[in-house]
Amino acid sequence: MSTDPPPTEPVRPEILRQLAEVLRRAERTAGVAGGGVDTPHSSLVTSGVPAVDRLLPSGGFVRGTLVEWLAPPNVCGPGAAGGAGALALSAAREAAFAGGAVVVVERADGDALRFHPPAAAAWGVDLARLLIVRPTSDADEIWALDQVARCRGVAAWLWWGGGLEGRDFRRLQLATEQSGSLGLLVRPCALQSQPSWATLRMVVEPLPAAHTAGANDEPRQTVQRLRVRLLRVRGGADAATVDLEIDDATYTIAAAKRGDLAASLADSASLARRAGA
Amino acid sequence: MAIWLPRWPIQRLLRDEPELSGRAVVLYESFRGGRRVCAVSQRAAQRGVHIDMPVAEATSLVERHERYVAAHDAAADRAMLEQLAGWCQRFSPLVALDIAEEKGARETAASGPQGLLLDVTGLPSLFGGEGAFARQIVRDFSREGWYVRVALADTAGTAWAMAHYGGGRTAVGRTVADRRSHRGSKLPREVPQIVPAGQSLAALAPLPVAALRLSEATVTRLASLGLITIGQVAELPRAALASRFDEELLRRLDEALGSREEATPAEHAAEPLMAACRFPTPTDRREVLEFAWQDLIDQLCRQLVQRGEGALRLECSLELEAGEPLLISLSTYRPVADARHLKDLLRLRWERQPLDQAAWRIEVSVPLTAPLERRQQTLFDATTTHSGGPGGEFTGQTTQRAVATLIDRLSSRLGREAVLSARLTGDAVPEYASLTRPLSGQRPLRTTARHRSSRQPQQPAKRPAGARPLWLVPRPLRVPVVATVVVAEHEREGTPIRFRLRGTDHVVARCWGPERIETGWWRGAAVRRDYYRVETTTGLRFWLFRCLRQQAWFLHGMFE
Repeated sequence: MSTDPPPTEPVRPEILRQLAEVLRRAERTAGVAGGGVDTPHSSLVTSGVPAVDRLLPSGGFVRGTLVEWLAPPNVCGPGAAGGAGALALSAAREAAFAGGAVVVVERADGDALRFHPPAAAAWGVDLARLLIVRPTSDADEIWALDQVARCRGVAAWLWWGGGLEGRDFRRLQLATEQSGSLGLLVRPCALQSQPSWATLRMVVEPLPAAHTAGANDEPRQTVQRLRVRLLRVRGGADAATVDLEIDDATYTIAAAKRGDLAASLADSASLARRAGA
Repeated sequence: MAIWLPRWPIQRLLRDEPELSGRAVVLYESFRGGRRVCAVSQRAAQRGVHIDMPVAEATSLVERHERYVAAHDAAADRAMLEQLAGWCQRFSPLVALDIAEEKGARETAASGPQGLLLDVTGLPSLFGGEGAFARQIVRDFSREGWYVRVALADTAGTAWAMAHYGGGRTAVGRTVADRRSHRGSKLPREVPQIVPAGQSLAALAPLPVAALRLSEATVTRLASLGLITIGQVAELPRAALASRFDEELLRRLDEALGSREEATPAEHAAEPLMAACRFPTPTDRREVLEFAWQDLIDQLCRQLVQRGEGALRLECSLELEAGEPLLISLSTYRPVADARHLKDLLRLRWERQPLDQAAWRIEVSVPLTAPLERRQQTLFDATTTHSGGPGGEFTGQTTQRAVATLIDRLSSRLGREAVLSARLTGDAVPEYASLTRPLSGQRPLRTTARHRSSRQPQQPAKRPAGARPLWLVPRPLRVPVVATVVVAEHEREGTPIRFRLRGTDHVVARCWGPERIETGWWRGAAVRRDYYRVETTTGLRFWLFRCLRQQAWFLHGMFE
């Protein structure tokens, strides 16, 4: 009777997955000026979504800068809705791939919405390296953001915030530049007209589904559609847009299929009117 | 002199949590992937639970309402025993923990230290004789709430044997647990065993061979040869014993009879780390006080470095002219012996601390320390490796240090509870799906703390069954749903189409679900909810649920 071969280590599929990640990353950043092999200290970070990378002249986010998403505000509490959160988490995941901590700064006031770590874990952020900071006052919040932005060990930090004074914003930008971390801010789109020190600004608008079905008609896919429009980028064309689909079941973000574009364009105008964005 | 605290892990637990007395307490430890019982209380032993039984079997033997199953906290046991050793310094300057030899191949709670050994040469006369001395010890221990068995003899070996096995009792005697429940706070006091000088052999002869602190293997072999008591073993020629058994048997016998010295390492209470400075006249000038505590921190850091330890908690106390002393307390994420870092942290707090009165004394102390981690050189910054413990999460040496400094600074100004890390618990109920804990001020190498329930967090699932929102309302918000669609084939409420939140109506454009979460019955009220992901016409996405018990709708979260 032959004995069974010893079971293969369960860690091998994990190694294969990591190798595939590295290859994917190398392929993506190859060909960009200054890119090439993705060393841990490379300054270019992919946004996690190829469609968004194509939109950006550098092919990704640059470490040491602030990236700002402007999205429709949340109804009950801080933060903004519309899908920007998923984009921010994907970027944070990519930035922390080679090490470093991911920090979320949130103002937790009483019954307001709180950050839910399992969702972050589902989006691929390593919870063992996630730090949640909860300041309780405005002054503490600014100070905490400053400290976090200044820290060299932080790969990416996220803040779903609101208004920011000009000099505080500038200080954050300088601190981020100095430490090389990636600052990801998600702010209400009403602040679009305010001056910002973020190198990259994008506006996120939610798109309705291609078909507005009643509850009887169960939609087969669980996708959320949104449009990302570049507001300001260093050295790139303005007003470039891309439509994305976020699949909440598989936690992936991809470019929207062309077929629904016409219907979504028609609806987005009425959507913008109603939301008053 | 030997002092034995029977069922030590249980005793310690019951003293900390007196409400558990009278219940069947079972402590387990993980061993080779399974969980085995390592300590039982008297009530549990009556029900048939014994050591080395699998936990599942043990829990089935005891009723649910009277059982208490928890993980064994060896570090806490040892720490408490060390504390007791320090307290016993009033009886003798040389106190040692009773470290039993390894039983077989593994260390279990049964073989961890369960008692104390005191060297009382020449001391009993100070207390009025051996008998009075021993009785006083028993009295003092029982006043503190401990049940002990004390024996006084020429050698440590004899004393240990008499304490554990002497007096015709078996090793597992009655415990304090049941007495307390019946009679209130009066503890039984055992009569101490005193072996007169030179009569060790006579006293040891009737005791079983296990009293010599032999390994299980040796005891079994002796039993197979028909040698049950120490007297029988002592009668045999030494050459015969030496050839058949390893040196342990002879060594223990010699130690017990006094022909060989036994070394017992005495415990010394660690010197508390404290530095204080007294001013000739009370002063409220901040620069003077700042200079004073900076100097004190320098002194403490020198001592810390000498000991190879780092501070995990620092306390600075200012005694004021009138009123309560001012206390500033800091905790750090990793042990720190760097004076500049500690001064930085204290300065952050100091700057925001108003001082209305003059202080005449300032004292800085380090109540909690941990060994300093040696810096390891890593050639490569490892990518996404999980290594256990708080130090291994952030990879790369400079990264780790930078993040540790960040955590310290944030915790110092915002408070410990404001800097958290999260972990998944694998619980289906969203409120409990993740737990946050503060990162600073904890001993990094501690064993797991006691668990209140016997349920351990399961292996966290990589992805929850359904989509989870990024934002959760801490307490689900009741939301009146204005209209729902009734699904035709079932005569119950269907999916929502319109609801009102904070005064605004939202019309549902799309809806996914239901996802039924029905669990948590062991926590009290069970959770039975049907969750729906709802997208409104304005593009906002909510996570609503209908509570099946109350038949009401609630808002639990928002997506992105």
